[in-house]
Amino acid sequence: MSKFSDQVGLTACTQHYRIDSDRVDAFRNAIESNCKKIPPTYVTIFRDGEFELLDKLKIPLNQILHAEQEYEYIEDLILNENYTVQTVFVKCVEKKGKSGRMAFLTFESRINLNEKTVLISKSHMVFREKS
Amino acid sequence: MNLVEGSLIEFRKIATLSREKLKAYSVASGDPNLIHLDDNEAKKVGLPGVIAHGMLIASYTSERALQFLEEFMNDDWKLSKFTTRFKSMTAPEDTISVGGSIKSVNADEIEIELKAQNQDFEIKVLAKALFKIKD
Repeated sequence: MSKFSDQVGLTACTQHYRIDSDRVDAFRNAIESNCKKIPPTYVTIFRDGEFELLDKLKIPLNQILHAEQEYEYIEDLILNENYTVQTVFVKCVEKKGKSGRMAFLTFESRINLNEKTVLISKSHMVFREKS
Repeated sequence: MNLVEGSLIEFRKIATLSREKLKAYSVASGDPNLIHLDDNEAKKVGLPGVIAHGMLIASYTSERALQFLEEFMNDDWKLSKFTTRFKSMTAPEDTISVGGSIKSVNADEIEIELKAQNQDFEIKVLAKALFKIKD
């Protein structure tokens, strides 16, 4: 396994998302939400930067566990607005256990509207090297 | 309900899962991971079969947080932080209920702790929701 910690700071291409009502309705239906607002976890859709970074780190999606997710809401998301998302590989702890090497990786995404951050998302992942 | 530290937030059934619901969530969320859709792909990585998306259970948990917000707090309050820890895998036919307690209460901040569990009381997600007075 290459050393992931050497690649902390790796940044994904800026992603662009428009929040349209059809997609919000589909998400709301999928999570059986009765809330009229945009669901707090809707921004899980904005994960293309994470997928790009996992690909760059050569980590297959089916070999990671999503351990923890944090959202900090600075401003409400607004329908029909265009957001940009910048995702960075911000932290890595690598350990050698009995069953092989493990890596704990953190990706931080800043969701911006008109160049102002309105939401911060942190995804904590665990990767186990196949022995 | 009194908004005081330690007050219990009743468990409520949020949903019973199904493979159709996992597929709908994969499409709606844009999650391409086949371990949620295809038993063979799931078995290739040592799973017994497809498992539910952690973020789907987190979304159910956030729904309970919003219910709490709507029922016990006025429009001056908003969800400020939501954190989830994924504790165990969720089978595609599990029924998920969510409840918990109030962790802390201040003049401009209330934090609650929530657990999402299945029909056998296995904890799937632990979450914290922090509510603050709007600016």
